[in-house]
Amino acid sequence: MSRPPSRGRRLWITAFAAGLLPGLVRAGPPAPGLRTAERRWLERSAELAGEAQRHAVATDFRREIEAHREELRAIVRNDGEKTPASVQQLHRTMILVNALLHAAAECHQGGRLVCPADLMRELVGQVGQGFAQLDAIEKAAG
Amino acid sequence: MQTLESMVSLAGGLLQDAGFWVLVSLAAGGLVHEFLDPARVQRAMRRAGAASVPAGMALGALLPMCSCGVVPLAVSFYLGGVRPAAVMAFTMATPVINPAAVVLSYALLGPQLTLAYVAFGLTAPMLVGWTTERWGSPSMSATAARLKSCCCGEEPVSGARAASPGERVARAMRWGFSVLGPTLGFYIGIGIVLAAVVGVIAPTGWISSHLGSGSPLLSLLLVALFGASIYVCAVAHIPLVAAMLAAGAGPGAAIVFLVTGAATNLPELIALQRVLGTRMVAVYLAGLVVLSILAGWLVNLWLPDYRPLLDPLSSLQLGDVAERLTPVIPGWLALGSAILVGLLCLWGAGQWLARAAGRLRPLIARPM
Repeated sequence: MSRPPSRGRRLWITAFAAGLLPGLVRAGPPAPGLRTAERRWLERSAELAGEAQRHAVATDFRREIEAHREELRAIVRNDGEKTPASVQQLHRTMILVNALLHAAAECHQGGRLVCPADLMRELVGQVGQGFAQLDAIEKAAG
Repeated sequence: MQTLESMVSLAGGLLQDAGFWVLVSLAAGGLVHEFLDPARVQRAMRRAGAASVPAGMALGALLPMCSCGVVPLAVSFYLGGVRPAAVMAFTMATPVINPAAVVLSYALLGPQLTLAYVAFGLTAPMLVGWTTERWGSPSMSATAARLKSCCCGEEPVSGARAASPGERVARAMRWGFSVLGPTLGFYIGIGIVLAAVVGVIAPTGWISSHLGSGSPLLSLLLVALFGASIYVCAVAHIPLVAAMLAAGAGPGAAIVFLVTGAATNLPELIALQRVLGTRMVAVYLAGLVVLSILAGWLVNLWLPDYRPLLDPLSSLQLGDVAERLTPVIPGWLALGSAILVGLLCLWGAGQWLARAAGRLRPLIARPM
C-alpha cells in the first residue's frame, strides 16, 4: 500500500496548480458571446470623443480616426455574412459612431477641433448606445 | 463673457467653414461677370425657355459648394442676365445636393430616405425658382445696380486694342475681389454674426426635442426655420441627422432638418436680400420652408417608424466613396481663407459707413 503525499508535497502541488490555472484559463478560447474587438473599438471611440471635446489637434485626430475606421472595417469583415441581427445592429451603431467622428474631424478652427454641442452630444450618445447594445449581446450569450 | 466667447468661436468656425468656397465663388463670379455677355445670355435664355431652370438646378447639383459659398456666383449669374428662376434654382440646388452627399446619405440613411432627399433636391429648387420669378420683384436693387455698373474704371475706349485673355482674367479677379467681395462680404459678415447669436442662444438639444416621431406641424415649421438660419454643409450634416434618426427622430422631421439646414442660412439670406431684393428672398425662403414641410409630411406618410437597415460593410464602403468625393480643405487654407473673407467683410463695412456718412452729410449740413 503506497503512503499518501506529505503535507509539504500537497502544498507544493496546490501552489503549482494555482500558478498554472490562470494560464490555462488565458490560453483557452474566449468565452462564447464576448465581443472583445467591438468593446475595444467602442472604448477607443469614447477616448476619441473625449479628445474631440478637449479640442485635439485636427491633423492628429484625422489620422487617428482613419486608422480607427480600418479597425472597424476589419471587425465587420471578420464576422462574415452569418452575423446575428443583434450584432449587425451593433455594427450599424459603430458605423454611425465612425461617421460622427469623421464629422467631428471636419470642425477645426486654427488647427484644433471645435465641434458644435449638438454633434458632440450625438456622438457621446451613440457611443453609449453601442455599449448598451454590446452589454445586451454579451448578457444574452452568457 | 462666456457667451461672447462662444459667439466669437462660433462665428470664427463659420468663417473657416465657408471662407474657401466664398473665395472660389468670388473668383468664379468675376469670370462670369467678365466673360458672360448679358445680351447673349438673354438670347440664350429666351431660346432655352423653361429649360434654363433645370439647367441651373443641374449645374448647382454638381458643384460641391455650401450655402455661403454659392452667393457670389449666384449674384454674378443674376447680374449677367440669367433669368431669376434659374439663378434661384441654382442657389438652392448647389448646397442641398451633390454627389458626395447622395452617396453618404445612402450609406447612413438608407435607400428610401436617400430617394426622398434626391427627389426633393431635384424638384424643389425648380419649383422655388419659378415661384420667386413669378412673385419676386422684377426691378434691380440699388446694390445690384451699383455692382452691375462698376467695371473698375476700365471701360473700353473706341479704337483701342481688345484686352488679351490674361488681362480679362485679371480684370475679372479685380471685379470679383474688390467690388463684389466687399459688397457681399459686408452682408455675409452681418449674417455670420447673427447666425453665431442664434447658435449660442438656441438651447442644446432643442432640435432633438422637436424631431420626435410624428412631430406636429408646428414642430416641423420651427425645425425648418431653425434649419434655414444655421450654416451647415450637407455632407457634414448627414451623420448628425442619421444619429437623430437612430435616437428616435421621425423620418419626415429628419428630412426637413436635412434640407433646410443645407439649403440656406442667415448670411446667405441677408446677402441675397441686398442684391435681389426683400420680396424675392422672402418668396424664396417661404417656398423652401413650405416645400420642406410638405416633403417631411409626405415622407412620414410613406415611411412611418422608419429605421434604416443597412449592410454594415456596404455602409463603410459607401462612406469611403463619399469621403473621396468630398474636397478636403487643408487647415492652413481654411484659416487663410477665413482671414481674407474677414478682411473683405471689414472692407465692405468701411464702404457702407462711407456711403452712410455721404448720405447723412447733406442732412447735417442743412441750415436750421
